[in-house]
Amino acid sequence: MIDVLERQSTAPRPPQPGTAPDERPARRALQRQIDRLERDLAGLSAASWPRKGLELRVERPSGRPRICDLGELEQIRDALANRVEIARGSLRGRHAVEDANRRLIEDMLRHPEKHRWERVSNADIGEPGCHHWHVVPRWGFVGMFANWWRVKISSGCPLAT
Amino acid sequence: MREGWVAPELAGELPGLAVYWLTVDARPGRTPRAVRERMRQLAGRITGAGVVQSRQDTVPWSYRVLWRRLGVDPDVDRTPVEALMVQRLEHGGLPSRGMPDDAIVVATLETGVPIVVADAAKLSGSPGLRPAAAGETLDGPERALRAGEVVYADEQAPLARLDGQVAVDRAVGDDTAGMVVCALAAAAVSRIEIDEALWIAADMLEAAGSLGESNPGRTQ
Repeated sequence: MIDVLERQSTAPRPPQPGTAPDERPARRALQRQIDRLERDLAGLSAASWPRKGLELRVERPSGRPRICDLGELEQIRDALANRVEIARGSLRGRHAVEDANRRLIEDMLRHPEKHRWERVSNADIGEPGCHHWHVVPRWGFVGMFANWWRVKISSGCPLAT
Repeated sequence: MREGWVAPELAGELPGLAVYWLTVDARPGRTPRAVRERMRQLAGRITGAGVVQSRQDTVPWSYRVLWRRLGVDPDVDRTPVEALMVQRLEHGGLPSRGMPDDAIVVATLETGVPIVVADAAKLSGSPGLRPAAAGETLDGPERALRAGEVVYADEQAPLARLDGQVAVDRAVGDDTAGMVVCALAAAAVSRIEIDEALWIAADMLEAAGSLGESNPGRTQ
């Protein structure tokens, strides 16, 4: 008899028909994920400055402030996760291109004759400002014919008119 | 400073969400020169890089998260502090619009905390936060509220939207003699920041409202 009672007390309770499951743990978990993803997105947004063309906007219609149901919270989480993933990938791609451009500048400075007329700007290496590195011939046509090349570094942004 | 009420369904869903408020005996009017100078200096500190970086700071981030959790995209319908910063970048300055608007601008930009100001005499009971009921409006059918929209409200009717739009019949007007200053608190925003926002706004309103007034004061 004692054995039967113990077995009954440890057996899992079957779900009660007609009772709604408690959504609170799921909602809390989704809200924590939204918080973390928003933090990640803010970090990516800051890391991408001053680059242009990186899309950081979450593709989800904005609505009036309301208590979102579980499905909406999931959609918000998914849209944020998707955007963070895409932004990370885009930023990684930009970094690779910018690193290549930095190496190109180094090579342009070492061997300008191999990079005739090439031009790299600050935007190409993910930096603010208007500097650019431009391989041009020394003394105009004389340099062109004699294969004397140099890197001209611009001094900054043009004056406002 | 007092804590306002929050509807239980909101408090359960968003722990840390709160409204703090105080009343100030002040009238609307022109912005004093000192406040205009403060706005000019504030405008000078706002840069594009700064706006982007600010999203990583705790207070602006907390309100972005609150917006997200409430189903609002903060890049479309911006939080009050971001809206002001973007407005500054787009227009090249912070134009003065008189009191209490300028006090709201300064307090919000200095602290990141959203502030709403209403006419104290037109409020019924204390302010708080709740979802709007079906059919409720801010000022009639053209500013109808969607059922469930989270709004500032007093004990009778909606008072303002979370983005700061105040109902016309509760807004500060020429006959206002006292104002209620409300600050919206989100989770992770400390009480110190809320206090600072309210006191910055209250001090400026008091100083401006006392110009020509015999007995300005603040009640808590």
